[in-house]
Amino acid sequence: MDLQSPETPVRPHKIASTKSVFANFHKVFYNLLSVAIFLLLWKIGASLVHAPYFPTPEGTIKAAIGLILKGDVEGYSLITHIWASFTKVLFGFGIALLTGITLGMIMGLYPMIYAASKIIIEPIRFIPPVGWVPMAIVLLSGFSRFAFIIWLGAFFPIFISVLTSIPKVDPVAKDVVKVYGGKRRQIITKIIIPSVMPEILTGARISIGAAWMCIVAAEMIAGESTGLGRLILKYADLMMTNEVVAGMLFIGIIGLGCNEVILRIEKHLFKWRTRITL
Amino acid sequence: MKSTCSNGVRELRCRKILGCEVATSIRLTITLCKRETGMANIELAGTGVMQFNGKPAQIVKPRRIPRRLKIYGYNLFTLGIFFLVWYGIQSSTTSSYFPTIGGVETAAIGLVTKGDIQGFSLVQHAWASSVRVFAGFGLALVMGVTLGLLMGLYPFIYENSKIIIEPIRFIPPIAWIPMSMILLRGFGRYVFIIWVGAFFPIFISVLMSIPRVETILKDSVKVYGGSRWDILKRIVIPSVLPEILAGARIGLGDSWMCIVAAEMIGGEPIGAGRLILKYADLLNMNAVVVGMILIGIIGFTCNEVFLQIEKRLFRWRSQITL
Repeated sequence: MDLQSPETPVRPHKIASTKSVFANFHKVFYNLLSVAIFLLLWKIGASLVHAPYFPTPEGTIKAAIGLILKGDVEGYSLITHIWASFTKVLFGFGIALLTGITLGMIMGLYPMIYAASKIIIEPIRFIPPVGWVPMAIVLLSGFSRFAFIIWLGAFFPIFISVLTSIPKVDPVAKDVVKVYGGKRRQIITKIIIPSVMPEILTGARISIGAAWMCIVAAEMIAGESTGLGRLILKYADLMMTNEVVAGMLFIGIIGLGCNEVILRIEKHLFKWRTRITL
Repeated sequence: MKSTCSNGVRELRCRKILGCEVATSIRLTITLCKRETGMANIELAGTGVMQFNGKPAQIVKPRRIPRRLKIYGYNLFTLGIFFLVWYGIQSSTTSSYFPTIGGVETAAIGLVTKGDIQGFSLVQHAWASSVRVFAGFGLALVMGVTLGLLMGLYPFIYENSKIIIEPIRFIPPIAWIPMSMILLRGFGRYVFIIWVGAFFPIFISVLMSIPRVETILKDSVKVYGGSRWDILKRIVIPSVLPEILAGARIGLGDSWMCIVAAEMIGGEPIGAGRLILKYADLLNMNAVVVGMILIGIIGFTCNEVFLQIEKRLFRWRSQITL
């Protein structure tokens, strides 16, 4: 301590701040470099393949700008598409969140219910949301079709993460409540719910990713002509691949954005938890 | 099974030891207890429950049903409720396209015995899909593990290519269909879509597992003068193996989930996803449900097999989840 103390306070504040800016600059530079390499490889690939439908980097950028500024062939602006998809995803995700957490908690607290209904739940879990599209078309109508497909995609990740998080609750914490004469209700409200909160949020993040991944599947059901998935399918029918790639990138970026927002919330709320992953 | 004699002798282990029948074992215990205590009034408590008050042995309650069997029973019960609910909806709905229990059963029998409208049997469909899934999954496994290890060991690479990897990760496999139709052909199309679906879960789980390797273990290798290669071989790889297997299981599940998306690309008329789409075009919902159940069951079985392997290989690991 004595040896180090004269050195630490002397260090000027200015240098440290420029250093961090410099480090950030490095990061930005390298990321830009990898984008440049990626575009270069893409360009080389595009010039090697002589197919007229192969998307090119400059064509995709042009298409993206065109979509942002002028809208699509039917005159819908990009914001309209994004908003249409976003409301569908949020609606389906909201229902999945409610049902997933409720059912996950019930079945986690009473494992017998899960064990006894495994024969139904497990095979259904492995039926892909796309596989439900014909059923959704026949049985439902309008907005509920989209919501149903997205609900299917989002429900299972959150349900499973809540279900599996409950047995992982520290038994010592539960026993302490028992020792002090607490009831089952108190164990649930004071120990189990706070313990599984981080897992619930992680499950929610994975499930909003999954819900967003289902948007193209959901929008394959025709009907409305807005939505990002619809945008891709529309341009795929016209064989305009540059616009298709632009649409894919928009979906990717928005999905990443949602993930990043919840990840930030998670990291902020549960700082004490070390294992927050992608 | 336990019983208490009046002098506190715990018996009825003899059933296990002698391997005799329950009733015989109880009688044997009583005689043993009688001989030991010299008393006629013996109370047996526990699960081979019986009361004995100087009268001949009389079994009050039968042997308890094992837990596993009980769960099977409950599952059958739930299945019954499920069919009952289905039947209720089916008889109250007016839609003529609603799949009925009887209809699904007939469709399933028809598909198994006679094959579909084009004459392909259910086994052929399942086999065609499995081949595609395993080709795509195998490729994703090799690439995901290699790239995951590489980027996990050199976080610098991941940090600087994040801007490319992350948005691509969130593009759904189904959105790649138009691209795959234009750029690839034949078998490659299916494999590509399934690869997209399976690659990222495996890649991310390998990538994320490497920073979690115990630093103490790595340091102890260093202390004993081990090289970087030693750390990799003896510490990192054994530590991340469970994570790799867990990632592989999730990736396999995801690649099954992509089969319908992949088989939306026309081309060959076989495959479980194709079966669903074919009958959906004919508005034959009963056969669609059969296809969905087929996919669900195969996916579930793959997952279960992997889970059992995981549990067996990594018994020391407590956190094996669904």
